[in-house]
This record gives sequence, C-alpha cells and structure tokens, in this order.
Amino acid sequence: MTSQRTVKIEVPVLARVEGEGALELEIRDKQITQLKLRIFEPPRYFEKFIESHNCDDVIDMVARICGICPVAYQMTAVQAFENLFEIEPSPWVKAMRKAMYCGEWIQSHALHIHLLAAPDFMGFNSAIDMAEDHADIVRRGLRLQTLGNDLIALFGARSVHPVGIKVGGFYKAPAPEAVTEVVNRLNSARDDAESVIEWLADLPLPDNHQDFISVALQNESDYAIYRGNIVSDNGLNTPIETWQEHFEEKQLAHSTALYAYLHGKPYLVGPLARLNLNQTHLPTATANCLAKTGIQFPSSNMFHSIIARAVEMHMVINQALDILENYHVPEHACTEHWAPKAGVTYGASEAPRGVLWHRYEVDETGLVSAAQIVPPTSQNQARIEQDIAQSLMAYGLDHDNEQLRLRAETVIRNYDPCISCATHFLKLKVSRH
Amino acid sequence: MKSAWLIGVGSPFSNDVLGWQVVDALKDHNITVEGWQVNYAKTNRPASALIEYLEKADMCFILDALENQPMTQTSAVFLTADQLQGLSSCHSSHALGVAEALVLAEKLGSYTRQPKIIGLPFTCEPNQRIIEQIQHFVCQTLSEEANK
Repeated sequence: MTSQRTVKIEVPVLARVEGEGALELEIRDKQITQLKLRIFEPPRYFEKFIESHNCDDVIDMVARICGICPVAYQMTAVQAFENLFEIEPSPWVKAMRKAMYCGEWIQSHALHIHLLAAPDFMGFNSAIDMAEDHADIVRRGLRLQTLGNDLIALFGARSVHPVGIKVGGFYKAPAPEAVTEVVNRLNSARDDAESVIEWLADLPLPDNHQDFISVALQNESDYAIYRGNIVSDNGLNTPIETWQEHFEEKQLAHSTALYAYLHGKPYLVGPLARLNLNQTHLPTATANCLAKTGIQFPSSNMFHSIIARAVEMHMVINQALDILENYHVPEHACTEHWAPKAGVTYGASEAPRGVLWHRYEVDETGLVSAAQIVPPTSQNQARIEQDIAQSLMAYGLDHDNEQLRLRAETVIRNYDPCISCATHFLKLKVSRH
Repeated sequence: MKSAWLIGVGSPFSNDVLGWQVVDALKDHNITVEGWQVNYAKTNRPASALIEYLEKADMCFILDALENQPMTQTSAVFLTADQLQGLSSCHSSHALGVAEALVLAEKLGSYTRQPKIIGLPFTCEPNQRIIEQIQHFVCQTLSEEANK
C-alpha cells in the first residue's frame, strides 16, 4: 500500500441535524492537516431586515430564525427591550415565561435525545430503524416532544414561531382548563423524565475526554435559563452587556456562519457547559436522579452532553409543573403602561443549545435601528471543529473513510447543531496524502 | 362511532400554510358521514403530532402542500403513504417530514387503516372546487371504510 493516496467521500445531506453543511478533512502523514466545517447555507440577513420595525414586531420576527427554538429568540429579545424601557414584568408574567421556555427545552431535548442522538449510541442509522427494536423509547421521545410543543402552544398559540409574547407580558393568558390538561401530562411525564436519565446512564457512550472551556449564564438563585451573568470555567464572570469585551465574532471563508471566540479561544455552550457550571443549582429531585447514575459533573467527556440534556429535561418538566399547578388567570397578562426610549440594550438567555445573545439599538419611537444576534451554534462552530479533530485522532485515523465519517457525524450531532440558526449540514470530503 | 381526523400540516411560511387553510375551509363545510365523527386539526410538527393523531384515530386524512407538483396542477392529489415516499423531498427540520413520520408510524404500529394523503398543489388557493373535490373524496373513503 502506498502512503501517498487521496480518498474522497461524498455523503448526501446529513440527517438528524437542523440544516445543511459539509465537512472537509485532509490527512497527511497520519495527521489532520486541514479540517473545515463548511456551512454554506446562504446568510439570512435577519439582523438587517428587522431594522425599522417596532419592538413587538421584532419579537415575532426573530422567532422566525428558528423552528426549533423560536421561544429562545423571543425571550431574549423581549428581555432586551424591557431592560431598555425599564419594565419590570409582573411575577405572573415572569413565571409564565419560564413555563413557556421550559416547554421549548422539553421539546428540543426530547427530540434530540431520542430521535437524533440515540441512534448513534444504539447502533442504528435513524430513529426509524431504531423504532423496530425500541418502539417504547421512540414513543417516549415523541410523547415528551409533543408535551413540550403543547406547552409552548399554550402561551404562543402554536409551537412553531409562536406569537404570544409582547413587551410587558403576553397578549393573553391561557384558559385554566387548557393549563389543567397540560399539568396532568406534566405529572405523567415526571416518570418518563427519570427513566430517560436511567436509560442514558447505561448506554455505552464513547469515553471522549477533552480540554475545553465551558460558557453559560449563571445567577445566584437558580439554574440560569432566562437571566444571569456570562461565566466560564476559566474565570470569566461578566454582565451580558460586556459580551463584546471578551468575545469576538470572525468570518472565515468556508462558512456563512460567523465563528465566535472567547479571548481568542474556541469554547462550548449548551447543556454540558451549563451543567458543568451550574450543577449546584439543580433542584434536589433532579440532583438526586443524577447522583444515582454515578456520573460526575463537571465532566470533560463531550458525550456526556446527552446526559446533561436528560438532566435538564427532568428539571424543566418539574419546574413547569411547579409553576402551572397553582395557575390563575391574572387581571392583566401584560404591563400596558410603558413608553419607548432610545438606547442600546442587551438580552441573553439559554436556548436549548446554549447561550443566545442579542444587542439592539433602538430609537426614541421604539424602532430598532441596529441589531446583533449571536446564536449558540455559531458559538460552538470552532469548538466542533476542534472536537472533531481531537475525536478522530483519539479514534484512530487509520479507520476507513466510512468509519471516520460516522464518528465525525456522531461528534457533530452531539452538539445538536442548528445550522439554520447559525445560517446548515453533511458532505464529507477526505483527502489522504 | 368511529373517529376520522382531517389534519392540515403546515407552517405560517408562505404557501406552506395551505394545509391549514384547507382544513379550516373543510371545517366550515362540516363534513358528515354516517358512522363517523369527523374531526379537524392543524399541526406544524409532523413527526410527533401526526403520530399522536394516527394512534387515536380510526382514519386519518393528511393534507399538505406538495411543492413538486407541476405548476399547472390545480386539483388535489390523493396518495397512499407508499406513493408519498416516491415524491418525498424533505424540507422539514431534522429530515422528519410527513413521509418520514408515516414510515416511523408504520414501524411503531400506530395505525390500523392506511392514512390517506391529500396533496395540495403548492400554487393554488383553497378555492371552492378543490374543497368540494376533497370533501367528496373524504365522504367516499369513509363510506367505503364503514362498509368493510
């Protein structure tokens, strides 16, 4: 066999991630010399075309960025606008927004765990193949996803691009009967959530320990979803308004999504980063479930992301239940007395895939004049490339191309990337020299 | 009484909303067939929501816009799940569109009667002619199923 050979693999569009892209890999002398996560989906220009729209319109417009995590975009935008207009939403609004956000975490995490990631770890090509042997697992995933969707629709009229949130609160409060129906299903889902953690803890996940920086929101009172400082496990703890002092976005020629770096280095956002940084804020019931698995966090095993997702799903199911069990229809679902004012404002929240950061410039009439939106997947893009390189080196580059492709895809799917948000995924081209 | 569900699949985007609009129009026509309770629903996440309906219904009609119909197509197209596979060009998130959801539902044993797929030409409006065409198809199918 000659050591000078070039091999090319073309894989059709990768299933089980949101969007389309490609991976290019060059191997010389048994070393990876080039690795590009090519994101070629055209730029979507959301930041530009929300300009000149009023804040309430922008809240509905940014929801269109993503079909999986529209609530995260809405919550982050409304937070920014309310910060600027000095609006303190009522306790009812705060609680219901959290319940709605829990719905998005439930549906997104349930989908990824059961239908997107699990086939990789159980030896199947897809959830459809897995369904023949593990119908109960697939059914549980669908059941939980539907519950999350319905929880979003409870407040937003529909689960994709909901329309319920406005500056100061909600357009309307859900009817008590509709809430009761969801509460009953949340109650039933608690056992499902616990069984997901137990099931995943027994899966033969690859042992893939790496050195990486975890970044997440953190606050003093709870496991941060809606508010917090931006913190990292290498010492960063900064208000969201100072994001630009520490993080930098860069354009690389092979990607239509911007790369983001923390002090020049790739970093991780998402469930594993969050749990690594916030595990002390887990509610007792969820912490007890995790403790039973014997898996220790913080964890440097990237494949513990799926465990972190399950732990978070358990937490938000219980939190949504706690909030909605005592539901009442308020006198006002929204604070109506506020006035717009000009300024620069910021919002940050934890989308299912990680920190979502917004910056807006608003004029005195409440129209947005400039926007910057940094989604989680673009923040993870550099870390994904770093992870693929490290994972393939650890796996062994002498594996055949099909094996390398499958391992690379598994690594990428582990991040649950939403390439449509960042702008899509997978054709693999390997060159060996 | 058996339950039939007419399920519009779609999203607020452009002509993808067609499945929802046609279901709304059919609801206004209040389809009645002896022995059947006809229900109407709209969903925007085919995988999880469709399977739920397939499991609780005795018969499902799935209405969705078909983008790969000829531009001149002005009437609805009636398909089986198998026929849909040949037409599938998945634009759904995570590649879990209607066709894939139906394969998953079959593997899960989610239905006893084959669901009927009603493909709506992507360029059409929910006009009276197409509503009547679908209404006729639903009534005829349910009558035949009732006699089986």
